Amino acid sequence: MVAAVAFTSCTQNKNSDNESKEVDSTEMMEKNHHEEGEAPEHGEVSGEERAHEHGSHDEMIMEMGGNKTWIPSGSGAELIQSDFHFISGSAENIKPEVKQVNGSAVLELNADGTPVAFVFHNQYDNIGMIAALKKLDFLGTISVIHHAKDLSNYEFVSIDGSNMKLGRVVNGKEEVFDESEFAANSDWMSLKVTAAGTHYKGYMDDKNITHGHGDKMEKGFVGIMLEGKGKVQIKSIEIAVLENE
Amino acid sequence: MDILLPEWAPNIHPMLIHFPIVLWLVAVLADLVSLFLAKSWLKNMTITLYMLGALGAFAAYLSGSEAIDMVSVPMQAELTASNHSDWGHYTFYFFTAYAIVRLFLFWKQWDKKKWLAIMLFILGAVGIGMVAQTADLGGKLVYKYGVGIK
Repeated sequence: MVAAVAFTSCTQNKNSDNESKEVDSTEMMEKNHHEEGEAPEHGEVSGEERAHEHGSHDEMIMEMGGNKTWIPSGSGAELIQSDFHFISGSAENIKPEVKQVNGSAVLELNADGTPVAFVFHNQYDNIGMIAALKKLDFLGTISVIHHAKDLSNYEFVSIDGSNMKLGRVVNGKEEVFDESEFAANSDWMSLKVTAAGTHYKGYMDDKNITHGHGDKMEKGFVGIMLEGKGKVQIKSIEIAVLENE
Repeated sequence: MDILLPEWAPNIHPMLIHFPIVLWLVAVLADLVSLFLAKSWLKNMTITLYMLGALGAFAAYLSGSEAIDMVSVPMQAELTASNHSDWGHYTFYFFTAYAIVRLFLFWKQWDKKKWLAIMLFILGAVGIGMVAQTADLGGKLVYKYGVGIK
């Protein structure tokens, strides 16, 4: 059973029609392990069990290191205003629409060329994030950003064609930690970034492409940045708070 | 080097990591015994073990740096992987510096002074703590998160 809960931690002023969903994917991950023939560890506590232990509070699950998956639904314009805020550009620059694609709701963005960055409302420290994306006719750079304070201070993993760049922007100055090519395709892709201590990594479809190191930054927002023109679809965004053992 | 790898092994790192652990541990034990038993063969053996331990740490460091980008790391294990990597670096630097110092003191025969020999033994024991911390994090990556398991 997958526990689907309303996105109470990030959503403000919304009604039931435009709610996105946040799914605790711990059990989903466990299911995948079972399918691969791996037995769950003894004493492993699922996200749902943790939620019961801590009063079913979404925020608490994230604090305890659970995974959360954001899935779009409802109206695109209302959704993007409720679940995100902009640190660059506005909803008018991306014309968000929620569409059904092969039975799944996806958020389609039509960028007009203005740089746009939208982030979840919560701030995170060590973080892992996976965005399921598909470029339609988009030409430009798509970035997953994290530790973002504003447009002049953030960290990123960006893709442009078959090039992936990993780095940070501090006071408007870009510093690239690592840059590498990957096998680009026109299908759905899974762009993953992890920021663990002083180690930063970028993955494409679970394959490590970039790995760099830098000073640890203060906690900040996580989200998506588009610099280019055309359509992009987002199927889901998974967030995991990384914690020391 | 990969041609020497068994088919089931994800990379050479797990084959090498046990060398610095065991060599350093035995070196410190030999150091302890030599505090009470002043035999030149024991001292020679101790220094040799520290040298080999440092070489083993270098091999583990190099292979680990390569391995971390080859294996699939679950998101929840990334911080453990990061800490394992950091401790691996610290351990390698410590082992190398310590082995060089021990070789120099051995060459000068200053390590025959009792107080210095005790200090060196204590420092060597610190190295055991460092390698234990590195190994603990590495063990979690494999046995808790399944990193490197095909």
